[in-house]
Amino acid sequence: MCVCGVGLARAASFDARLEALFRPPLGDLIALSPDGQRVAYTLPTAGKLTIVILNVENPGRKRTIPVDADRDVAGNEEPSPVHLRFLRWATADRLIYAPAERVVPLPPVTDKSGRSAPNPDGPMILAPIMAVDADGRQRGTVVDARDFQETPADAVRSMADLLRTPQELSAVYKEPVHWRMPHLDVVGFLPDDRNQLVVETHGAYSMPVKHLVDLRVGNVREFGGALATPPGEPQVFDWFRHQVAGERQEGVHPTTLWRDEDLGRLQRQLEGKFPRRAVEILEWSDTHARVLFRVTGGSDPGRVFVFQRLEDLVVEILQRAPWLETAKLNPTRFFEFDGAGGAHHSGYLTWPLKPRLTPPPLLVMFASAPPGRFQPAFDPEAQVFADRGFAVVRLNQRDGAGVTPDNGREAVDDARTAIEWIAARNPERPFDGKRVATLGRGLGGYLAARALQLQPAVFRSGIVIDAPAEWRPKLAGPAGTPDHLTLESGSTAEQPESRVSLYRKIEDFLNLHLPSYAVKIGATTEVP
Amino acid sequence: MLGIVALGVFPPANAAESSVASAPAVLLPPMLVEESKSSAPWFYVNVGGTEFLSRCSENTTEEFVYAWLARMQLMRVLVPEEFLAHTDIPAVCVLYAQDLDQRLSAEIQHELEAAAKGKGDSPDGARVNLAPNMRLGDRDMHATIVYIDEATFQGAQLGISSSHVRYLLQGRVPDLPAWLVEGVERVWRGAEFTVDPITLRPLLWHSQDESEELASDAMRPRALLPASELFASDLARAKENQNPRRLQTRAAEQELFVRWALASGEATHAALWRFAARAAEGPVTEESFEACFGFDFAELRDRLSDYLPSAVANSKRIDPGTLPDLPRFKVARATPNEIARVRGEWERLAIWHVQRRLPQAREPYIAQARRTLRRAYHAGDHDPRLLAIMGLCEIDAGNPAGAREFLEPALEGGVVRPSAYYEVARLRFAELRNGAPETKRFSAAELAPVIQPLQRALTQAPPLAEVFVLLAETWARCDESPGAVDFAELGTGARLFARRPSVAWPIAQAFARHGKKAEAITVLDACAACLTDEKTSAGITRLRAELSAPPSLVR
Repeated sequence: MCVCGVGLARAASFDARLEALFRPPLGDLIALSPDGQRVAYTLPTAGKLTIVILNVENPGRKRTIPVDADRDVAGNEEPSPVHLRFLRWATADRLIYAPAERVVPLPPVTDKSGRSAPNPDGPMILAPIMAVDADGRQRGTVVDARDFQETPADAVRSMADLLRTPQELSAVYKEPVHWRMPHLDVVGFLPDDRNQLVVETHGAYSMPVKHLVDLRVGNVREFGGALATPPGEPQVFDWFRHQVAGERQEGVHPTTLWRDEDLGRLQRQLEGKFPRRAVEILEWSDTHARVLFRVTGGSDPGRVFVFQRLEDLVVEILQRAPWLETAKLNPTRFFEFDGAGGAHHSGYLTWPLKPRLTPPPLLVMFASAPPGRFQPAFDPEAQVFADRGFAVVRLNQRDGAGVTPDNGREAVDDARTAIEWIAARNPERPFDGKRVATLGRGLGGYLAARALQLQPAVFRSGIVIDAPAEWRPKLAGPAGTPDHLTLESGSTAEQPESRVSLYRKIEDFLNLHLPSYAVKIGATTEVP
Repeated sequence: MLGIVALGVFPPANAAESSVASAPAVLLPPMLVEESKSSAPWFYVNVGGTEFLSRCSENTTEEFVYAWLARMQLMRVLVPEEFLAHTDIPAVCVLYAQDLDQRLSAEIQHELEAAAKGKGDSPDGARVNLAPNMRLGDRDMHATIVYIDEATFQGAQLGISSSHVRYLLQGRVPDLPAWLVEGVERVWRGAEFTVDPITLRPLLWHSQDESEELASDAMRPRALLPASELFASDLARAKENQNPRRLQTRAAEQELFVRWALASGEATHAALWRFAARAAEGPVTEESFEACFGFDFAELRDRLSDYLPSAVANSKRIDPGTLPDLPRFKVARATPNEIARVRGEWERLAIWHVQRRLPQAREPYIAQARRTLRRAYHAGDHDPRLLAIMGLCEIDAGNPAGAREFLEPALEGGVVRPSAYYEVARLRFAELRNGAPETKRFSAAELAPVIQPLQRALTQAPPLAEVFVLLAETWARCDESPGAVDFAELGTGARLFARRPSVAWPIAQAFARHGKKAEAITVLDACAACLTDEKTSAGITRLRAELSAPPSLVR
């Protein structure tokens, strides 16, 4: 292996670029206060999670709140990244958040004969629901699963026992009392008093029960009222009116079907402000005067805004990846067209900002997801290959297209159709039709291999990553099929440690196998 | 159209501009000291499209003119020549030494006192000031007067005020969109031309505090208008939310956009002006933007947002590159003709300004302009340029009959002065129509004396909107169909003034009158997104209805 100084610098730059492209975005969860004056969002940094609180107007200094879930019980565990499952403002200045629940089994017990047996108690459930003021004060756990420990019904022998904890029962009756912790979920806030948090317990000895937690004093009492449990995705829940306000629709153009007419109007208004982008309304103030929404599409990894209706102003709250400058990202365009027989084709074309060959080679990436799921607007991997000088096409599988070990023909034909369409529609941006490679993961990996078999004149080499095991025997094509690089499970770009080597392998392979594509990028390496 | 204050000599920076903004007093153009009362000689320079008439010393005059030429050269680095007003008539710049007498004339004092007495006000005279520097504009030229303190004057400190930049941008034909004019003007205000030219100082985003906060926190929330709203048509802007915060954001973002385009490399710089040229000729679309810049509206918003923290934190130097040598010129003693023409032009322009600001003080200005012009005329100077000024002076003085006495021979002399041709055509057309019913049609022969001067005006710069309007109105009254060339001229007017419904409407009427229905509709469509007055709007609506009716009903 030969490495020169320039090569080292490039390698470092390449590694840094990969890290930046794949770094988790900001604002995975984000919340707007009921008066629309404040926003809180999650900020992952170096394995830790913080919550950032800022004012929409006169932002001043931001508050950062560390999210440190209670680890005392599981102190011997490797700390794992913290995620939030709930982030929402109770009032204009009180924020409620809940780290993801952790279930910690208790150690086995040893019976009288000395044999190990499963622990009849527990498991320990860590599901803290926490609160903090907008100014960063009054931070702490409001309630946790341990506050709702339950005992079997037969352990309760009197009315007074109903109020006793398992530990107190053990003390009273001088015998061990079994206990379980329930799962604890947030249901919402009382519409007429948002200082009253409604939580629900389930999964212990008793039936699911709703409780009312007074956020001002911490009192907990059973809640007998009717308050619908918020449904999860794809429903969009109105936390003020406690009803479903709309439903997310996946698709080539993801959208939301709003039941709430006003939100529907807002959706259309915002889409008018961001043409060719996907606008997703995330939350709104109680009067709809302010709306929190996310915009994705184009070359940008996404941004979050607050729309101020009174002023008709859109305030950018955060860039999801502020470390990536839009002007330095390879431009990405969505495309769609109707092909023969009415088939609707779509995907994204990412064009290299700095092509290394003119015209640049083309890399066609098959979708790894089954039909009905669509490529994300921003894809770090497409940026990686565009950085290496490739024009990158990411294809959506068309609806209804099924793939079996014996076919894949339709998807491959679609890919060829898309290549021809792109060539015809972008004469000002020609790619090198003789240097077309393909790449896919999982199902897409299988399709990449099929593309080489079925269209060897179009696809000159390919990379097959983690193809389904049952289809692997079919990957080797007949004589004359262009070479492909097979990478096994574990060659995932999600893991930082394997990412660099993955892309180096792919790059070296493409350097060798795209005829005359002798461009060396990054550290100079010798490929056997 | 008259404006005020273009040229500032720094220091004191923009003295007249600031006084215009803060003082309640009416600013009047200074009255130049009569030749008989001052022995100071006049110097004359004609260079760079401007006639300078100076009562400063020869050296000061030369230094001023060089500095002026150098600043204009730098202006063209930021704004290409084709986006500035172009006129075949030289601008006029009168330089006056500050130690020369500058007072209200006795007649004006008298007029003001009389008027004040009539109103019952105290005749303290404090309501009227003389502007130290002032620019007065007409339809086809502009004139500036600059008072210079020769003891302290340094050409290197000369600055061109942002309002003059705005004036030059607004005089461009076809009209530039408001977002560009306002954006360039604000960029100009933040630019440094004396030390290390051209340096754009750090952008001021709303306030100094806000700018500092953004500079220290690139992720600070910020409001920006989407590009579709940033580039909105005049009509859309008039109808949009007028919340002060939104208007403030618009103004700041216009500057941000222009600055970003100028500072982001040659390709983007060039794209800005390609886009500006397109925007001047028709509505801005996302496609037209993308064709120039290579990315779409939403990405522009993102790029501007990303650029903002750097813009508020850093200066940016625009390298002017190697500039051509400044044109050579010689400061010479002014001839009587030059003094009369240049000085008379200034004094003529003052009439209309005073008429608008302080009508009771108008007469002394008229008298002075006439004195200056007629002195040369009676001495035998019948230069067509002088005659044209004299004719226009009579128009401004409200004496159209007297105007023709000078304008007709000026035209015969082949003067370059579109407004003179227009005025003659207007007077002839009025004469032709005098007493005739509105429905009367005229023959081409009858209208020829009206049309011919208008067509001559079209061969000179700047193209005047009123020339096309009158041409269209004339053809609309003609009982014969215009020829292809005539229609083409009307089409040119529609293209050049596509953003002015008041021009498009009569042109469309002329097309419609002579059976060119499709052309008429095209003309009206082109200005559909433009702001106009109620009368024009109603007229366009009526015409559209007529054009939509069966052909037999279109008259």
